[in-house]
Amino acid sequence: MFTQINNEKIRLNFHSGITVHVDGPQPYYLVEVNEFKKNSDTPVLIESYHITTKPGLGYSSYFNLPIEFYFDFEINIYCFNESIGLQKIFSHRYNDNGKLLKFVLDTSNLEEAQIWINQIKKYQSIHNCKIVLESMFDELNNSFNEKYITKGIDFYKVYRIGRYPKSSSDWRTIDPRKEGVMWFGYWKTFWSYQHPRCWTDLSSKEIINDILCIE
Amino acid sequence: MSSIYGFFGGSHNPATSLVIDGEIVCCVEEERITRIKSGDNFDALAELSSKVVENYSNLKIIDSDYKVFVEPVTDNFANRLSNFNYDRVSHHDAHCYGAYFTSGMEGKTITISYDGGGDNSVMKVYTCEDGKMNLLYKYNMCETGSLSHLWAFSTNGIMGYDKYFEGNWKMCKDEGKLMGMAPNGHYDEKIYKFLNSCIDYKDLKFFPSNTAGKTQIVIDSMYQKGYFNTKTKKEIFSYNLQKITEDLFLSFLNDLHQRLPEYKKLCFAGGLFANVKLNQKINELDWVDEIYIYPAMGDEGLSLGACIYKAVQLGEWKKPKKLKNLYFGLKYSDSEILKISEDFNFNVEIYDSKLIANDLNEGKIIGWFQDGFEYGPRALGARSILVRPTDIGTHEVLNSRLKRYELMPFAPIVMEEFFEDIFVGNKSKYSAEFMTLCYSTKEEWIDKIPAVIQKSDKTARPQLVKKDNCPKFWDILNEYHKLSKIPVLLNTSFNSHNQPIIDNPEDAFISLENSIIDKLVIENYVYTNK
Repeated sequence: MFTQINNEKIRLNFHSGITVHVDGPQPYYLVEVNEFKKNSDTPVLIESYHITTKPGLGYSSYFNLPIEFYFDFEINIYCFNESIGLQKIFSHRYNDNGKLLKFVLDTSNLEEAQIWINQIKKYQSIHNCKIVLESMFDELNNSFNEKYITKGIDFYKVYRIGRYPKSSSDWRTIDPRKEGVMWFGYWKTFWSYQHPRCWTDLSSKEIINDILCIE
Repeated sequence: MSSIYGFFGGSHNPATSLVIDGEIVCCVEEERITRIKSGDNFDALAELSSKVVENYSNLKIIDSDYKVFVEPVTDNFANRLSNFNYDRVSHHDAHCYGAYFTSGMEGKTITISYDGGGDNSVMKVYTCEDGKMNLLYKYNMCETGSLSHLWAFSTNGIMGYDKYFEGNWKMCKDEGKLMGMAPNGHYDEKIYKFLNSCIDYKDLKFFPSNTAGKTQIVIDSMYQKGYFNTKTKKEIFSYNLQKITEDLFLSFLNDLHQRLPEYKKLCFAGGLFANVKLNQKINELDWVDEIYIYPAMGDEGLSLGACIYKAVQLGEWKKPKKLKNLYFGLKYSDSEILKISEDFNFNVEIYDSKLIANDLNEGKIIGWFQDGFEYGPRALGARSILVRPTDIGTHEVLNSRLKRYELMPFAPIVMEEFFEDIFVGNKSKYSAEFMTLCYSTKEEWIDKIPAVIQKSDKTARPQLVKKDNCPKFWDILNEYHKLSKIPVLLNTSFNSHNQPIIDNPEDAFISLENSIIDKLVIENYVYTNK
């Protein structure tokens, strides 16, 4: 997704989590992701950091939050304006209603893939979105009624459904009482106040429900 | 009755405390042992302090009745120390229980903790009465702005970054320098607006959230555009940072008072209240009867707060008490000190307060080492450097010898009997025993004690010294008063700049050997270089 506002060119994609690129005259931009909890319009901070358009300033040139699951969030972009201080220059709330989404099923187990597809259909009915499926099983890929020409298409969101190897320690919930609080080393990062749980011991259905936020 | 160990670590300001049968036995900050300021050693655990307290008290952690860890807890460390048998206490509860139950407050009291975060919140507000605390508000980090973040990221960015992109000044360490510069600046609408775009206040809420990220981008951008490239510009920025902090927090307190008009006593803990100027403004509010700032107001105070929390739960600490002093660190006997001194080539004589008072009156710089070292950020008569307050030229000598930043002010110690003669206001004198708030100086004293008065706003951060609580410290003041008619001395912490306050006699002797001090009073002896 591409937007230009005044001098700032903004590119967003939700293909591998949330990625934001900003090109503009300011050396720094602040990218912030807020979540809206269920039945609440109060945004709560999930993650923010600075990106820079110039090398050598110690920041990344783009923002990425590797969240693979569904949550109701907004992205805000700020910069410094010498007249007023901090200025919000862009805001986008995730909304896949009517949008084209791609689901990639990372499993060689047909039974597991079928469980996941049932839940993807449920997601589609809740969100009213258009879906393209990519899996190892052609009959499943063709199981959605609609057919889309996807060559050159920029999907609004790509979901990769799968599970980390059980041995992985890439991400984990150290204290299970703190729902949704993920930890890296000694420092915590708030990656959604509702999701995800540690997937290690979850069933296939529990995993996809967790990813797609389906009760 | 029980033995309770309290620990905090894994973030900044780790420490270990021990309370037995409702009495404080020992409190040790990790930085006093590692000799690295906490701000330079993030994520450290209470590794060494836990061992030191264990050895000092002769009570093994594993044999104590309770081990309490403050959130955020590093589970591996907690498991290792406690053999998987420990309690957790929330970050802000440890702050608040520490504050209220050492305040000596009677009647209706509000206790507030406020800092940059801990257990997902930045602030808690309790109503308290008769030893009972009820949570009124909890402010979650993800939804609330934080004045502490405004200070942390202003401090971190104002001097730019080193080649590893670390701030040349450090958060959780150098905020006091900004506060020290503030009185030399002035109001600037534009700067104030910049800061106000990062944080605002209305209806008991600080907003928007993510003050940390917002402040960082504003400060970094201001730095790039040259807003901090002179001393004067930094002072102007600091003034406005201090002003917005006072404006917003006092608005919050006044709104709280509207809702709870019968509560006129206030206790505070958390890093924000290291800001003695803010504390002064709070103390000067008409409706406030008394304030108390927990002397170990930052996260170094959490380990004792954890012990108190548990002791209150157990019914072993029933009501708020007053602390006599903060000498909860390691003590050294005369024989230990004499043994250590044998490695040095000093003259030694028996301490005589009259002779030392005379030295002070002549302008000598005296190292003062007594009792156990203080708990918290202030030197309060256990590890102090004392100088006469009458000579502003002392600053240059002290700054040079201690390698101090020139704008950091020096503080006075004052005999209790003369406190109200010298300073405006008679509220919150118990809190003044721990140097936690500023007072305005009465006109007639400003020229008499210039070395301990902030030049621009004529305030000081006094330590009120009571004869009963700190008899030897009071006595040296008294002897100096007899000679000079001045019941005040300059007291600065016994350390060089960027180092923690000293712990042991050896460090004190090294200071003497290096002529940082002219004489060293250590327990009952006086040492000088040969």
